[in-house]
Amino acid sequence: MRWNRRFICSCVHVLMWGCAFAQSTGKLRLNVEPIGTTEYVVDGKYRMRDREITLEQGAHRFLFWAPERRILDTTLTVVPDRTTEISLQLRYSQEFIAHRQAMGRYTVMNRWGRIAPPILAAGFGAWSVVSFINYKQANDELIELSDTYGVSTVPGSISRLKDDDIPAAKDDFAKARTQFYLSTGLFAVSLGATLYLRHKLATKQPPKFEDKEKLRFDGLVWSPTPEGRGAWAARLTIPIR
Amino acid sequence: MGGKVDDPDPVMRRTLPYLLLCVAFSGCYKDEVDLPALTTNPFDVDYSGPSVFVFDSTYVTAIEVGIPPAPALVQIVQLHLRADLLPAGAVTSVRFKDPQANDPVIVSPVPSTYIYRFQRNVVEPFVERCYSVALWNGFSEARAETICCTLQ
Repeated sequence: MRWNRRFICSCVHVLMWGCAFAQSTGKLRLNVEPIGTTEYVVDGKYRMRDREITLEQGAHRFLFWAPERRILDTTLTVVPDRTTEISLQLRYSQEFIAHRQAMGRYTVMNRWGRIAPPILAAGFGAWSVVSFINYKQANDELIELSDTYGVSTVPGSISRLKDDDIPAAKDDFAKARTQFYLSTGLFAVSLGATLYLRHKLATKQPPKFEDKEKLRFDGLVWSPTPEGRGAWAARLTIPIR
Repeated sequence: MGGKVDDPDPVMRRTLPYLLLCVAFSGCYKDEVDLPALTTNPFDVDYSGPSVFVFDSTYVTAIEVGIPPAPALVQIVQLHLRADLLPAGAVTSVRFKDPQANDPVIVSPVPSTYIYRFQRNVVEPFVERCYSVALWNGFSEARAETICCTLQ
């Protein structure tokens, strides 16, 4: 009876050891876009960059991250004695998409803010010069007609002058004056806008990208030291201006 | 790191005073022609100044009319223009209208003067007659005035 009990215990031990030694490993080959900058954390412990990793068979939790990309939290299953190809593409983070849009707006604003107002100002300036010349000519013509009235000796001509020519010249003068005021006003406004935008754009800083996904990734990773110990990493950013 | 402020373009800084100067000068150009006030030219139908016609005299003279020429008496109405009211160097005729005649008569001046002599074929002593006179040039007439006189 005692012999039997020993035999059963031995069998159980052999089975247990057998099971223990039967825990085999498999490989994962990771093709993750963007290649070269992707990092990952395995099972919440090990932060790595290797493209191939050997793990015990079964499911393992992976967190992938790359600069400007969103963290991908997924579970990969390791098949024993096999190399499994994993292809993934990390998507851009919302912060980076927003930053890219802000940067695009900044670039467009910077470009057009520097180019468009001076062009407009030059255009309005040229228009105001032309308008001023027209304005002066209209004024001269009106004065000339007024002088003509004083020296004319033909009653019919005087009637035409008063009924047609002078009113038409007065209309032209009023139009020329309005156009000159308008063009000068627009020129002044565009000139002011040019100066203002130059000042504004000179002081405006481009939008900065803060990779919050990296902060999350860094803060939650256990980094192994050469001695096999580890430390939780955290990061604090203080902007210095 | 403090924001560096670009100075405004020197060209623009120089342009601005000129622009303001230009705007200031533009204020000088005003429409100073007051159309209703244009009534100072005696050749204007709307002339509102003093009369340019000055009656000189009326008298009877003998002329020869017809073929063969026969002597006849006519009445002359003589007037002159105030040269100081006319534009410098103005040369003009005068339109006379006798109320007892149908058509007006255009009278040229005595050469190099502003004296005009209107001839009536009817002699009417001691009767006051009024004539419409107006400056006439280029087939158009100016403001009409009335001159009255009596042959003594």
